Amino acid sequence: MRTMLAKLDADDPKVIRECLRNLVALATLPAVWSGADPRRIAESLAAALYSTLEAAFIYVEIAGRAGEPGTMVAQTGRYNTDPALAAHVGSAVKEWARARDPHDVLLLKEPSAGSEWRVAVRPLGFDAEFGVLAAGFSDQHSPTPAQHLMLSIVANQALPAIQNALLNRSLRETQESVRRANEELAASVAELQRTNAELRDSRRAALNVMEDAVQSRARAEMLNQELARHKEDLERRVQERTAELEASHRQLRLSERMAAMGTLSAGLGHDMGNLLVPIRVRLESVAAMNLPQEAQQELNGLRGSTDYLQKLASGLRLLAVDPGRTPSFEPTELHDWWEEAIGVLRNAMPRGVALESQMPNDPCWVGMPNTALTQAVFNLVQNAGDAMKDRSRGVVKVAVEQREGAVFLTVSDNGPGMTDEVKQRCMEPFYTTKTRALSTGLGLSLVYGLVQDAGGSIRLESDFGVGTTFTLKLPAAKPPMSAETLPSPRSALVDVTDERMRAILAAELQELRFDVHFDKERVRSADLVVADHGDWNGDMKGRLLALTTKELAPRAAIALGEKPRVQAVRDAVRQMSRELVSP
Amino acid sequence: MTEHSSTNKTPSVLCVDDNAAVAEAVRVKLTRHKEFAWKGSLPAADELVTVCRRDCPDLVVLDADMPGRDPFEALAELTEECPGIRAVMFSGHVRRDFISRSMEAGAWGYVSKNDGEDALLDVLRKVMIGSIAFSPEAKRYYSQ
Repeated sequence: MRTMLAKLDADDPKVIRECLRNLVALATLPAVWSGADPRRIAESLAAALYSTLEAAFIYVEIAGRAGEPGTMVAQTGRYNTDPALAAHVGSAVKEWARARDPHDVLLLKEPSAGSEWRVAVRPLGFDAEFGVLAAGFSDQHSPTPAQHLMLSIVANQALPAIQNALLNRSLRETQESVRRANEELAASVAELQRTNAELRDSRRAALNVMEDAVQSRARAEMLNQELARHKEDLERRVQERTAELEASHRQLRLSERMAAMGTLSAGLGHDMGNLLVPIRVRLESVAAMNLPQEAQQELNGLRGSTDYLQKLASGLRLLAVDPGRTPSFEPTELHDWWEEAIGVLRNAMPRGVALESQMPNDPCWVGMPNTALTQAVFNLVQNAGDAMKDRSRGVVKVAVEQREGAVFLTVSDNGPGMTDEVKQRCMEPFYTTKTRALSTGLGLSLVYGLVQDAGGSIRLESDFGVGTTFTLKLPAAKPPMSAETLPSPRSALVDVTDERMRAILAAELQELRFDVHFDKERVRSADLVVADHGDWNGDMKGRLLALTTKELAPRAAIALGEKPRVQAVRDAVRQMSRELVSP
Repeated sequence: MTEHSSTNKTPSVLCVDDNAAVAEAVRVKLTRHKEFAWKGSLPAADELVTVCRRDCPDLVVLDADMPGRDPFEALAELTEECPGIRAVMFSGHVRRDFISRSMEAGAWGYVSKNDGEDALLDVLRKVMIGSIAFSPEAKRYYSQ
């Protein structure tokens, strides 16, 4: 600068003043450039220099980024609008600025007019790194030193602004890149997050699906198991039901056969019974005659046969399914019954076969008459014994158990058991596996009829080669009123005119353990009075009052109407007897 | 106790049974020891009341199941018409309803043919001394 000023000193002061004035004018430019972009700097620089230096044109080019064109401003109307001319000038001055001294003047021919420009060129930065600044003059004296100086000063002033602008631009571009990169990054992050979220959702969904699948599978397995259980249960029920139906069917067939056979058998039994009466009587008559010994023996043989036939006739009649034959519920206490029956039952056992029993501890009453029970059990025990005749260590066991309001009496053996055919047919009348001489084939049919009569049922279980068990399910019964429970003594006065009714009352009252009297004088001691109208002239109530109040009243009285029904009288007597026992 | 037991007269019997062999057997059985006198037999109950009115037997042995007139109906009429005659049923049918109908119709007893002719003899003896009586099998049904 000092060299330049010294050079100015040597020149005309007028030039220096002009130069200073222009410098003052240009001094405001840096303020304008602050923050401006390179193009704006170039345009303002060109505008300022054009007017200040009175140049034909000003060429300013700011270096661009690699691979990009620079910013060129040819500050004349013509050059500014003619790209070809601008390119011509630009290439010349850039070449000049790199190779020559800044104070050398470039002579540049004007392409259209043929005249020559004198051009002062200043590089911006080392080796025109940031661009080039050129001022073209048409007159021969320019550029003057002051113009050179101005151009140098302005170039020096402009350089930092241009550097800043370029840096700013670069910075902005970088910032923009960073911003874009950030945006892209943010977008990528958002995308990533979205993707992650989607992935999470997908994963969750997948997990849910898997969980659902697992649960579904577990449920399916559970359902399968349940289904299998139901199937097993159903199959079992079907089997049970089928077995029950088959059993019912067998029972029905048996009942039908029994009914048909029973009717036939009962008729046969009845007729046999009828015929046996004259046979026995005739035999008795014959026996009363003075017969030889041999004839007596023959007669005894005939008697044996009639006894057998009588037994058969009785058995046959029991097989009838008779609507008028009501079941018998006469109660039997099983311990007492066993004591009484065991002798007969033991006799039915073949040698070597043991008879065992198992009775409940407490008294056990069953609704079946003593004789019928003996008859039924005798047949079962006898059959069991016969089945084990040829076997060693045979045991027939009679067991009693009371449960569910019923008495279960079982007769079991460890004999050979039954085949299926025998099991199905053994209850049929006349069916037997023994020789006819030993068996009528009515034993089990009889048991069946007796048990049915008592309102019970019979069940047979038999395994071939293992043994047989008959179970009689019989109605449990309450103990009857025993002599011990009755007040003693009880007496009854029967003051009834009709002989037959008197006999009926006497029998009934004796059955109920009354001492029966017919003498009216015994009324004082009577617990019960039964009277009809007799020869009383008043009403029955008066007769009873006369009987019961005048003479130290008995505890109860029954008045009979005219021609009373036998059953009604018996029922009344029984009812009164019960009331007399009650406290 | 009764008019029959108080006299020495041999009680007479009329038998009604569709089976002549049975009636004859009853005759033989009852008259063997002259304990009872025989008034004859009828094959059905149709003429029962008429014959009884005419012959006045002390006892009637009556089958419960015969062709012809219903024996229970005939018995009821007999009870009404001839209250002094004591009838005993003698039947191969031992059923609660038969026994019940017999007693309502006026029978003094019921004998099962399965219990035998000795049971009949026994029951007739009891009836003659003023008791009602049953053979063992019939007794079981009457007692229920």
